[in-house]
Amino acid sequence: MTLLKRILDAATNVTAVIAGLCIVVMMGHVTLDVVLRSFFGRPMTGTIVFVANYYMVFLVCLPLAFVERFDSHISVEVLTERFPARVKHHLYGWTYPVTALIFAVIGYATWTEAMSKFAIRTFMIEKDMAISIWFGYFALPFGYALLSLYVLLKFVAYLAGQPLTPERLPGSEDLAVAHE
Amino acid sequence: MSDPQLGVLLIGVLLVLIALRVPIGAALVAVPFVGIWLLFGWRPAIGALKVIPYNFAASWQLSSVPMFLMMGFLAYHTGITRGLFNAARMWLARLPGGLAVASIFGAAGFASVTGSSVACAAAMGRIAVPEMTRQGYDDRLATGTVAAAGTIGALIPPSILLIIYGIIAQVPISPLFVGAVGAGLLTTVSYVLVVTIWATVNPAIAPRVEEHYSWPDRLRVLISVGPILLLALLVFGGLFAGIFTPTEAGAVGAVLCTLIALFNRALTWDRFRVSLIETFTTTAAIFVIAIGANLLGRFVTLTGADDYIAAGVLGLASNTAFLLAGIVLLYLVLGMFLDPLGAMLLTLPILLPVAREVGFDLLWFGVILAKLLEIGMITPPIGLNVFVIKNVVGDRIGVGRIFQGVTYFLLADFVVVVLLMAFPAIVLFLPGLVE
Amino acid sequence: KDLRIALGLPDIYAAYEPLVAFGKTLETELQLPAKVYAMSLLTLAETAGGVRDGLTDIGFVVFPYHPVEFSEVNLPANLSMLATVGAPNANPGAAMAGAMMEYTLLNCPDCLTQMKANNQVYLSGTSTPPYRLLCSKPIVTADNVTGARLRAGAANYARWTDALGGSAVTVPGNETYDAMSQGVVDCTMSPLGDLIGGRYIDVTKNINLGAPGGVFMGLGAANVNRDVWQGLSAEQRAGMLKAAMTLSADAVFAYLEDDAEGMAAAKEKGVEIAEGDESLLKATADFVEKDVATVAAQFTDQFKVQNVDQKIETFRGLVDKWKGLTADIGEDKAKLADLYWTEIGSKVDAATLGMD
Ligand code: NA
Ligand code: NA
Repeated sequence: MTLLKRILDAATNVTAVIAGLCIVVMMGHVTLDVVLRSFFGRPMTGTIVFVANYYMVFLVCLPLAFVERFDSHISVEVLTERFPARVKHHLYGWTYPVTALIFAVIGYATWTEAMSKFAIRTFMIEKDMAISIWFGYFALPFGYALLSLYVLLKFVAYLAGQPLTPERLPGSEDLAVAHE
Repeated sequence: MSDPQLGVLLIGVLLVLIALRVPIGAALVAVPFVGIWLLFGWRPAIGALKVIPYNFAASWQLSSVPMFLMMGFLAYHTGITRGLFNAARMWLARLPGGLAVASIFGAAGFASVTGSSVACAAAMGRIAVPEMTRQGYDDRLATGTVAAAGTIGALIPPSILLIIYGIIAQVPISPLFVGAVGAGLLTTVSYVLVVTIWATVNPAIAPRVEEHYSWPDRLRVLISVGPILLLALLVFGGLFAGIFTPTEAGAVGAVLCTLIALFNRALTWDRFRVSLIETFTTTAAIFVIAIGANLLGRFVTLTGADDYIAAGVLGLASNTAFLLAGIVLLYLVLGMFLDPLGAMLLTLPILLPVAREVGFDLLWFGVILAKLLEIGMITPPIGLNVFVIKNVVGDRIGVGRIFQGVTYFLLADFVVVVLLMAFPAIVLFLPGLVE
Repeated sequence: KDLRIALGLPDIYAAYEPLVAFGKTLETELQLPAKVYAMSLLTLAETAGGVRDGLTDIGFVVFPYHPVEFSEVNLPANLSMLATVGAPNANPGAAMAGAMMEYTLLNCPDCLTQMKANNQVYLSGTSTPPYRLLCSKPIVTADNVTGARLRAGAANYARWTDALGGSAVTVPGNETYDAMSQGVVDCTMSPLGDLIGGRYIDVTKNINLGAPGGVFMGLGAANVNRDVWQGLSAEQRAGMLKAAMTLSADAVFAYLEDDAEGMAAAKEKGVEIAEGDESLLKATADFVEKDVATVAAQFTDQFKVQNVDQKIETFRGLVDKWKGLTADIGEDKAKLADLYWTEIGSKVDAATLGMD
């Protein structure tokens, strides 16, 4: 199971790197378009298509499992907080398969859509430029499937009696203190 | 079972799932999926998942959400935000509850570079709460102030809530931003009043800070406000000078913030990296819920439950005051449980037609909505800003104490809401001026 | 269950009332109760997929949102500027809707095959009135366009702007107001109706009626889910096709009403209104002729559409034919509906359409 976790963690790290890159590239691309348009009268073609169909879908969907790994998906613990620890443990354990199934269904649906867009190699036309957009569709099935797998991993860990210890997002507080 | 009944039943299932700590994003997808499956069959149910999540995520206008988040996180991690608080502290520390007042002004300043209430609360919480507890401030005052002040982050522009409202209600973004300034400033003033009165009536909760700052020191510290002032000026200046659109403003702001931090020699790779991680983590967490809420909205439409609710609301509409009171009540209840984005996405399809029917100014309505939704950020049992502060302070202070601290600010919020409703000019004056 | 009709736009949009009337006809004449969902069920970008998967039974589909999926109908839709060059015509929207429908239903088996691939049946189209220059500064001559920043909502308008030396800025519809009011763009190319619908009247000081021209006609006014269609009786299918022709004419006139309201608002506000001057009209006509070749090359090379030149020729013939047919329509909505029915709808074999 540690091997399984190592593999999935590595995968989430890759998605994190891609999402981070998307942010940087999106900042740069949009700003460059603004500068070229406003100060040189030469807007770039297709900025909106790139932002929406490339950066945004990757940024929004790929890191879903990464977010799960650091327990950062928003859930509500107000009710269950008061439960005895044992009850809580088993309750949480059995919500995992439900959650994993839901995300797997989204993964399946978006996969079939991505394959149909791939089959026709769908693209957009901006001015006189054809921009392929089919592969952005794959960000969804990959993101949701990986998320589903990660939740399943937590379920398996629960069944094995070795629940994963929660990881903290890379330390932001430490940095703030260091800055003082 | 009739369709609306099925709708109500499945909403019940949704609440149970959420209460059992299933991630909200998953619960919000499960219910409409099963509902559409039962009503119309497997293919439309899968079809909803095929077309809606992609088209929601692949959005040019929503790209400003991660961009404004990035700008805010960068400003925080590179110390730009801290400078703001330090300056406010030096100038205001000797007032009753001076540090708390400083944190409110800090939040209002930071609000001009971040689009999110949670980000604003988190930033100010990390900076100001330790400072206040060190000075012996009552933990309710220390945490309650920043939890409430965080809500200014979504009022003073940029505001992610208002961006999404503008897109759905088809209200132009820039007048919305301008209109929200009035509500944001009014909120700021009301919170400052709360702290001042509270600390005057009960001086024990906020011991006077004995530190003394010389005038040269006080003037010098103003320099540290420079970067955030410059950033806000460039972003809003560029926006209103027609150099970029509201959507583009996020990206340009993030780049400008990077440049300012570089120039200050405050930008390290680690800080940049952490800002990136926080940005995509927050973005993904927001969108997974927004996608779910979006699907749920379609399902509610398909059951026809929205028509019943709208008819009920319009029944109140014979009297505008009743209608407004009904809307306030609705959002107070929703805000207790839902996150603002989810609550807005769920209710807009129902309320917008009502608002149009009654002849509300949609700009004013949007700002009122943002204010109401932000109140939900600090009401129990689910108050995201409170949880964020709880996360910052760790085990030292309980959630209950923070909710206690928020109480007086909630009172101020109701006064603000009433003022905004009674005097629409507070919202509409500035946009009118700009035009 | 009632039939669901999805419009990915709010109920103030021109096509809403015609769709409601269409739904009424289905209910009273064909015993098919229907409900129109404006905005709440599907967005414009989702509608084609929603019709395909049965999330809605009938949808108002915007084909250019799916350039590859519907490349066959998008070919003529890209030639919309033929509406306003060459032989003059009083009602370009009426003419182009007719040309598009006759092309799609009677002359383009490939179009219908593509509809089938997307699990839907095309019944009728419609068209907006011409696109004009709505500006915050005067654009009267061709030279005025040079250096100006124009918001282009479609690729052909971006190319037109380029050809005249301006710079084309892509701004989505709901951000255009912001872009206009702040001066990110000097003009938007939109129908006059958008002065009200998009509130552009607040930020418009000058209008040029003569350019760029062209209409928006890449529309399936009532695309029906194929499984639903095949579940209807032969009479219901024939009746729905006829109702769709009326829908098309209704929508053409609803757009025109919006246009008239926009014009009235502009006059009331004292917006300066220019007719296209000679240089601008000439430059536009030259551009349109060249752009036909550009579109032909694009659809041949990139979209891999077969027999593009022949298809364009067919379509151009239909444009001329419909300019003539609609010349004396005037304000007569019923006459236009009749014309669509006699010239197009009645010639479609409702027994086989969408049944293969
Ligand atoms: Na803000
Ligand atoms: Na709450």
